[in-house]
Amino acid sequence: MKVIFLGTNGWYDTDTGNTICTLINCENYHIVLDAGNGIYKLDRYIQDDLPVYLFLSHFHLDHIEGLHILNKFHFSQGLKIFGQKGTGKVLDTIMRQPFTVPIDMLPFPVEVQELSEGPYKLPFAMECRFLVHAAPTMGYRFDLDGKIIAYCPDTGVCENAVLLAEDADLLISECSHKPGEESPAWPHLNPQDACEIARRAGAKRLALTHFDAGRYTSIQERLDAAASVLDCSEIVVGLDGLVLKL
Amino acid sequence: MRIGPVIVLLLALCDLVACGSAQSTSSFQSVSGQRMAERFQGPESPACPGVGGVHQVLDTTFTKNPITGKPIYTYVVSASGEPYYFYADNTGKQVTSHSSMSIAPYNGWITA
Repeated sequence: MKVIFLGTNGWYDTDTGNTICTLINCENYHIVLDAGNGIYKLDRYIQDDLPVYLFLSHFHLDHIEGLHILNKFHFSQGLKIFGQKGTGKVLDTIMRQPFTVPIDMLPFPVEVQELSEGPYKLPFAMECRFLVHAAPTMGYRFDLDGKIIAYCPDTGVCENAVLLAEDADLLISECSHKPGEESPAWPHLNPQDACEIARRAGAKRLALTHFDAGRYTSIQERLDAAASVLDCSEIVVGLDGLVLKL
Repeated sequence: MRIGPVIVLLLALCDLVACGSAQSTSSFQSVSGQRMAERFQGPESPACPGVGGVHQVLDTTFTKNPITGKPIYTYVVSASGEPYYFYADNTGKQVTSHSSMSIAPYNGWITA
């Protein structure tokens, strides 16, 4: 199984990368986490006919702005989009003329499923929980090919993030704040927060992504931030194009 | 802890989310949506026209800050179909504070 970071920025695109999108290629499925501008690279890594599942965390534009290029893909088994309650209405609002191709006019069938908190039995096991952010945001936990992958995008420190990441093989966590920064009014994580969540959850590996574009203006700043965390056994700095093998 | 949806509120949402600075002072012990409705009733805030008014509670969850140990109650509310998120501690006092918004680069508007 491969985890491929297609976009690792928060807020907007810069020379450091595109806005957030992560692809998990497993044996029988392709799992896409959020639809920032990095999503345009999907067809570099999806060249088969396996089904594609897209999980949206929330509707801040840096997580959905890539949706307007979906019509360049040809997913032979269609696309299943999952998100919190209200997802269908949001997608119908933004995926329409004059903005982009309407969702029902894409060159493949699209199915939208709205989620409440809890475990789900899709073709694979998935659990979702609300995180703490300025807009309703879902975090996810997946059981794929015998590996547990947790995805905690925009969030402040919260118990649900720990629960999602419990004993995970990989925690993909946001890292918007610089080391030492925190703000209850703009809930995000700094690298120490992300590490603490991973440590409390017993996650084996932590990958940081969603580096705020206004704060992390160079790759070196990302590396320095990760290096500032002293008590994290295995930490990966997300970069566009990075491939993790699990 | 989850509390069911479908509670219609009149609340000054601006005072509860990004652009407000007012904070509740009197406490409440219940975490029910109804109590929250009573707690946060208020007129539309002139600071954020269009955001106040009738809101529907879509979801309520309970989390606990593992660092401070303080509980956080999160409320998903809707104004004209657009969801917002805010949180308060178990006394009903808003956890967020206007002053700490200065760390955000959005002039008080949260977009990412």
